[in-house]
Amino acid sequence: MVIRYDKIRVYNFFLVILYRKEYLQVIDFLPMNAQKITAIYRVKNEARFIEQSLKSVVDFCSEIIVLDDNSIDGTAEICSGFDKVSDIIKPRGDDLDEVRDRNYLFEIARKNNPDFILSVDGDEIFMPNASEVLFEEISTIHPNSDVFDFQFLTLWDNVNTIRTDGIFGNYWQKRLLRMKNQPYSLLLVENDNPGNLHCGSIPPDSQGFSNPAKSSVKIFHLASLDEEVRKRKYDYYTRTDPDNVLTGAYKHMISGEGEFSGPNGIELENLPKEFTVNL
Amino acid sequence: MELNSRIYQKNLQLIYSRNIQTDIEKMNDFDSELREQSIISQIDIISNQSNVLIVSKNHELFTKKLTEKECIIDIAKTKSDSNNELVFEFENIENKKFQVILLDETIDNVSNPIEFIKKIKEFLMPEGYLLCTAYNLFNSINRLRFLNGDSQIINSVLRNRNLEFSSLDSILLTLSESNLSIGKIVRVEKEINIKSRLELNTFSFTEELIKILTSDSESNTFYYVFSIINKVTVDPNIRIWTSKFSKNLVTDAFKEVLVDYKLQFEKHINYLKQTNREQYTSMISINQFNNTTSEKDVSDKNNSLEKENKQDNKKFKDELVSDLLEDGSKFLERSLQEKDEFLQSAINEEREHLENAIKEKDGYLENAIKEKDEYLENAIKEKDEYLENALKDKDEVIKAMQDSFAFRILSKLDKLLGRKYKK
Repeated sequence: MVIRYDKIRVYNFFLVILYRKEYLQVIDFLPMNAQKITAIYRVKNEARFIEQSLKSVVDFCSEIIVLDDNSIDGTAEICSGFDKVSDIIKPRGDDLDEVRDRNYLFEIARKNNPDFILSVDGDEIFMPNASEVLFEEISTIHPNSDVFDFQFLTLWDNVNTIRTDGIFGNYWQKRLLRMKNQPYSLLLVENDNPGNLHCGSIPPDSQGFSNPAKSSVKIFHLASLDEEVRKRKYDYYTRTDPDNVLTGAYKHMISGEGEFSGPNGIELENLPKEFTVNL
Repeated sequence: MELNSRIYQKNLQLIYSRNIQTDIEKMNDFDSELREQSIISQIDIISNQSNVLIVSKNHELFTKKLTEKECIIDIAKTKSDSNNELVFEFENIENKKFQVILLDETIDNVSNPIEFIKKIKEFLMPEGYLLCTAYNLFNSINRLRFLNGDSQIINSVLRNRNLEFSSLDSILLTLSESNLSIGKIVRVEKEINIKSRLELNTFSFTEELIKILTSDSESNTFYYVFSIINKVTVDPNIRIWTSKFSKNLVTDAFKEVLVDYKLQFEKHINYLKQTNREQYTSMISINQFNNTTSEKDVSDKNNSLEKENKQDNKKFKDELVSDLLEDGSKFLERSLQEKDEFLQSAINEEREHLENAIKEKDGYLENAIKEKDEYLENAIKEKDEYLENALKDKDEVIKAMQDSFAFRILSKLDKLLGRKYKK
């Protein structure tokens, strides 16, 4: 590593001496998307939304790695149709363990030395033209921030309606990690939930985790779009995780009740036409 | 109630305020240090031998250091109009073009910043840029002052200031409205931590609140020093739409703190519920006693207030009883379950023990039988050997007797006597 660094320094030194002005210009007008972003997906039976999700990130990601947890609806086949999907891997065990899977994804993604790792789920779609906002933020507005926090807008009943009451109006998650300055070992931490559910996407020991930059890029969350799917997911969560205090018994997932809903129940808002998700 | 008061004492320290005037003086010292940093970072951005126009009432702060950098400097003349607002005159620099236009503490003090930028842009060379400083209104100190309802903030911060350049998001939004973007941004920061309370003399907030405020990456920034380039990097429509959503800078962190507390106290309450059952029972016995005495009073006085009291008491008692019953039934259920589990485990243990004993007995018997067989075999062998040896010995003795001198003499005597003796 030391030798490589010295080589670069010597090279830069000559560049500065010989082409000083040109060199400075190169630095100033480096193409913004020279940053290499690797997206990591952990999916299971996401055939309905995965194509749109991948389409929304291919603009700004240079590599996509998918961990397919034994899907039976053809999710892996849809993923393999994208050129940028470089690897579709299997989990390292038969049981449900979100922490194990995400740590494995991080391990694979770090091998190609990306500038950023972006963690996405199969039912999440980035807003249209997210790339221009994102590149401005990572290269100009927040060049020193290591972790980026994103707001999630939950689509409800329709593709042009979002739910805004309670937790739905204030739902942020850390998803993008700048890999420069990060420690060699980055691991998500196991929790008390069955299958290590809700373990987060960015390892808590990463540099800059406690003061993330709040991105203006919005992510549409489609897991609650259909009533039937909402009920199914609610049943699954309440069955596998019956006494969870943190999530208020998951009542907000299917109704305007529970401590995570707003005081006036379900409140919805329409999206402008240009920001509507096309399914 | 006791628990509640303890939580209150622990988490809500009293907010007190001292002599505000002296504290603002201290704040000004702190401010001047940051101002100096902002001037240094502006000069650092300007490259040597540039062509610079300074449009600021503080131009004397820059002239010396910029001449050291061999820059060519022009200064726009200023005057204050009837409303005490800043007005610049550009007569002396007409038909000139500059690489850098320095707008130190100007852009957030002019009355119409967008018009002003459009006008001043005309003096830029094609690849030139505007260099601005803007005060971040939403730094952590100001946020605490707003929360405290500090009216002095209007005089010290908000007077003669437009709000278009008051925070990072408003800067981005205002620039995109005039088709401009930020080329480079430098933050003049100062970390406010609990240890350096001197800077926050007026305020004594809880540790959690200050932690939450300072965890927002922008609240440590006091000045933004940024260059403006004549280019659109993000579609203005996207900028406008995304700015409609609050960034929830504080509430998000606050939520995490509250969840932590909730978990902590829920554990504590559960613990109390399980262990302090005696207190519940003593409370209900006291309540029953009060209730019987109050019934007597009612029959004596027939006072309506007391009726209400009685109703309240009854309600309280009912609630308490129902709570207790519920707790009791839960406790019973739990203990029954525990008993069942214990019995089950005991039965299992016993069964295991019996099985082991039978196994051991079988093993022992098997061994004993084996030993017995071996012993018998050995004994028989030994007996046979002994008998064999004895027979051999007998034969030998007989043989030896036959060979002996006396026997031979006797047998010869027999021959001589004609075997008469034998017959």
